[in-house]
Amino acid sequence: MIRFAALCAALPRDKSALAAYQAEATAEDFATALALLTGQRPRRIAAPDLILTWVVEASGTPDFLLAACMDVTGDRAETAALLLPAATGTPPTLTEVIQTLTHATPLTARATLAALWPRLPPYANTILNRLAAGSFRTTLPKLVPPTNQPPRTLRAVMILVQPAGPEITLALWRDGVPIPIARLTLTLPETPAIMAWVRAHTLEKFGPVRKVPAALVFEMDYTGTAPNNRRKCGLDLHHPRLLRWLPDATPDQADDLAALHDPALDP
Amino acid sequence: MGLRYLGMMTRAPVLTFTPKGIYCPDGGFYIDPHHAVERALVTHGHSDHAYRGHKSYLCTDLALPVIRHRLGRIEAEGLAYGERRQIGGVTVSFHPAGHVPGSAQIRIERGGEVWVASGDYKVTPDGVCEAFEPVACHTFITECTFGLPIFQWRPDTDVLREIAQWWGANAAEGRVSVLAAYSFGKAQRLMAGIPAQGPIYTHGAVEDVTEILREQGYTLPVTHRLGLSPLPRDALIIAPPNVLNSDLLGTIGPVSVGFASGWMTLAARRRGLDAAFTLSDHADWPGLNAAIKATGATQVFATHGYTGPFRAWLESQGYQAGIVGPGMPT
Repeated sequence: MIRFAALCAALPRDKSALAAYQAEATAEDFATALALLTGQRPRRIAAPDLILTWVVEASGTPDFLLAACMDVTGDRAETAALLLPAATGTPPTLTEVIQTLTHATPLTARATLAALWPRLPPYANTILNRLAAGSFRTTLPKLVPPTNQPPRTLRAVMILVQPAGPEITLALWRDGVPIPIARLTLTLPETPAIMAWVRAHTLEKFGPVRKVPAALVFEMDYTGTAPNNRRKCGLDLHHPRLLRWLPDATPDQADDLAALHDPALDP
Repeated sequence: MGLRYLGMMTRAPVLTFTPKGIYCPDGGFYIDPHHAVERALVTHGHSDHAYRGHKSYLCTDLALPVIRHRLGRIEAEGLAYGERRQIGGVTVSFHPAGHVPGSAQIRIERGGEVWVASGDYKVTPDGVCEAFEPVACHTFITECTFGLPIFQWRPDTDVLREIAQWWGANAAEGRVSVLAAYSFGKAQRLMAGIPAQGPIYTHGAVEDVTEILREQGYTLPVTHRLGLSPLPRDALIIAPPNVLNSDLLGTIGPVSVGFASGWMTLAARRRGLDAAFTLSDHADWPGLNAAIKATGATQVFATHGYTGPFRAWLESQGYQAGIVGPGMPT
């Protein structure tokens, strides 16, 4: 199960990960993994909120701390996994996990998970929680929509910065409001100057994230989009890349969000 | 101490929070100020604590060589851990914070009332730097970089073994292992703690600090400065995180890139890396809570991190709690 969790982390960017997993896993686990990654998943035994509630009850986490944790991870399955006490038992195999989940029902779900959690590290419990909640979405790369389109360029404005990385969140305009579209690692020659600007212009801090005025404009590109209702902009960008800082551009020169939905660009 | 202390409560606070940083009016000094001041007491040599431009610096004697290396010609003095120094109306001393070599908590005493500013700290020994020591105080100013219950570290030995397994597997497949880690503290903790699978190479920024610490007497393994000799495929390169954005990676053939940091506990931070290892020089949630309890403090101020929720948590645990920010502690 631990190797499978590592495979899920690697798959979106590393197609060789499946071969590496095959070399390490038993034939039985490899077959189970292929089934999961091609859409044959166990039925949901508990809603994500319910799983999180069970963990919060067991750990005695107050609501205000839970809210702060959710702000950091943005993910109920991950928050629940990270709030659990450290693992102590022998890790189960992937096949054992799937068979256990398949035989579980909503009535036995809590006891089933409570028996598996202490045997796995947090990143594997995140995957376990998703499998139990029916929110596991990882697929084999070949099933992902092609991304061989020529890149499209955008001008976007920086609104948030995580100094660790550093990572910046870029946004496009909708009705005068900047809507975040991508988080990118800041890898430009001007990074030190940009970070100095960030330190001098921080409006608010949320944990590791600094909010800055929508003032600096960057050029970026991406190869395509996929709908995602969980994003404020309604889309995931494929392969977003930071190209350059446009020091002379004013924020109003950043693109409108409509540029992402332009049918001329999105065949 | 209790009765005497109650008497002191009516006086102005020992430390106040100003736009330049934490200030001691009775001593006329700042602690880790982020603007140029006359007199700075500095907890450790990381750049977000030891800023340039102060007229004079006071830190531990063990922190001084790295601070001098980073800041150049400065007027600075080092005190041994536990050594007391009268400054104006207060007595100050430095105590091990367990964060990086030479790092300290600063204890300030005024007529029986004791405040401690933690700087950055971790409570578990890391094998290289001086181990954290709890310091009894009435008021504790604590960092809370990882001040949420989702941050719980695994034992070092487990993480270091995992790193060794990754390095060994890369070596077997002809990939150089590149491990991103902060150049002062984390890098040395890694080189000293990872069971060796081959030679260790270091980026210049890491090697400069490593050489200084070796001269000070810290026990660190043999490392090779990157670029001076051919790179074997079983090498581990330890380099600062900005190397991930540099041209270096493109010049050394097949590589696997890992990152060692407390932030690697979060899936969002692991994305895009070949390997991620949760290893921090800051206290985790249980560590912060244990450290605060061990001080016996009744008043606690939070700084550096999730200060809002952490302050609320401390209040729910019965502490008089606040946040370090411009304005006077009450």
